[in-house]
Amino acid sequence: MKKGLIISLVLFFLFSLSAYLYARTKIYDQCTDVKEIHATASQLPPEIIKSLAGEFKGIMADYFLLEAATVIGAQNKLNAEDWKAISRLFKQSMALDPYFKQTYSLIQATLPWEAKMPECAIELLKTSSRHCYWDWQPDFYIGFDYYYHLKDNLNGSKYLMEASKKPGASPLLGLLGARLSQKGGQTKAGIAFLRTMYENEKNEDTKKQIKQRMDALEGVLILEEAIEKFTLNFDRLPKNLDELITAKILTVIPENPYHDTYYYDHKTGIISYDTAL
Amino acid sequence: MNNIWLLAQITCKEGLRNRALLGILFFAVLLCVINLIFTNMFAYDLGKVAVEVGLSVVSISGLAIIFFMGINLMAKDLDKRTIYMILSRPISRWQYIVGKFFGLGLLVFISVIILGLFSAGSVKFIILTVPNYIPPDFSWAPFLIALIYIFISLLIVTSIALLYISVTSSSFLAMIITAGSYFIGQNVEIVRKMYCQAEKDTGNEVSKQLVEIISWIFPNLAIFDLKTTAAYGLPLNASELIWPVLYGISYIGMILIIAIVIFQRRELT
Repeated sequence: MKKGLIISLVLFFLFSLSAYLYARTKIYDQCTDVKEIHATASQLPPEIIKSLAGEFKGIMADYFLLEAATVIGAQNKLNAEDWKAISRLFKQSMALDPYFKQTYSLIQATLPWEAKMPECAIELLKTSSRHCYWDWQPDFYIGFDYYYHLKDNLNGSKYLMEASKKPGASPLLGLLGARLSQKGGQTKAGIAFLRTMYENEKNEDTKKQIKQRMDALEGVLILEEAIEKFTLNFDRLPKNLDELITAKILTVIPENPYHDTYYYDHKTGIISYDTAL
Repeated sequence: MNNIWLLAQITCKEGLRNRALLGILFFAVLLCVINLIFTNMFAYDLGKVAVEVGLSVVSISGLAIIFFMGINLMAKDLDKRTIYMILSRPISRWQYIVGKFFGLGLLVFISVIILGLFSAGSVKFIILTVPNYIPPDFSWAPFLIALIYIFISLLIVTSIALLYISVTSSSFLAMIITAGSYFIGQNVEIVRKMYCQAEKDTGNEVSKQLVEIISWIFPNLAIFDLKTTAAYGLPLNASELIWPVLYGISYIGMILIIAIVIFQRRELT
């Protein structure tokens, strides 16, 4: 190779390298600060995205989830539009892979809390619950969101009871579900559920716990029916539980397995086996 | 039969001489690195991510072999007139098509085996390093079945590619049409379902019929996609596993026969 050509090539390479380095610095200077990242999601319905993904649905779902996680993890203050886009990304990811634990965990960690979108979280979690027959957590999260965020004890109890039926779930979930059921005015449903749990349970300690809760709810049911009878007879609520005996509706107040007696609110007529009325 | 086997061997060797094996190995190593990086971006079900990335790479590399090498191997025979050398020997045209198909199939098989092993290796690594983050029902049997299904799906695409290259001598055109057929094959089922749902409301029989006809012409490749099933170890109905295999083999048979009929009648001047 001629000396002149070599020198020209070296000079051209050095010129290209310096131009590249300068341009690169400029480009990286212009890069958006991580705190200014905002969520964007395609407006395409999940069915279309599903068909576009073809056989690569799984990794597409992972990609959408990572996109949502990046925006959430950037720790900037997200506005309502951002959360709408993030929930759309979750929806798309969920449509492509409804089994992924990471998706429903992130949904539960963000939508009901920071985004104040518990209804949206519940809708998405229900998809996971339908598919993940081995996992109790989606039902638990739904139950929790109904109870805590939407103050809906009945639906809360329904999903907690569903969660307790799945493999690996703590029996305490069933007890909690039955308690919410009673608080929601469905004492009978709570007792029926506990009875099924009791019959299917093999662990003696757990059986004892369930029996105790069942006894407590049965006591509540007896008192609720007595109060209803009293109200029909006297057109008012009893002032205390002893009035049920003096009115000859009950001969004895049932025993509360957790405390000395049942707790009664004479203004509302609500009975509870613990202090939380 | 000997002629077919000979042609298959030559086609496969030609593919391997094209440094395809080197490319596949490079892809396999890259897969392991990508799998480790990508999987660690998640906090749950890491095994699921590893299985899906691994099996997707097996699919992509198989498709790349068919699109960029398989089609060219046959088109080159036609372009450079080397086909005359083959057909002047006691080899009939139908043997040429079947031999080419088996050769390409062998190449795809080697790729699936190598990448499948590397993919299983990276999944095993994830299982050993983070055993608590693996879907509870994961097992290797669905993983193996998913690999077999990917292979059948790739064989279907190979047969379609052979059909189009028999019709048109342009490799580019054959590649575009094969890619289109693959895309339709992946989505024909979901589109059919969407149309059936929409037609209940609108009552448009024409489009419904059109989609129905398309679903008969193009293969339903979505039924060979068991990546999610393998990733989570979802239950598989053993008796139903045979139907996609039968569907795939019979479709390949029909496509090859059409390709042979067209190729027999083709003027090779």
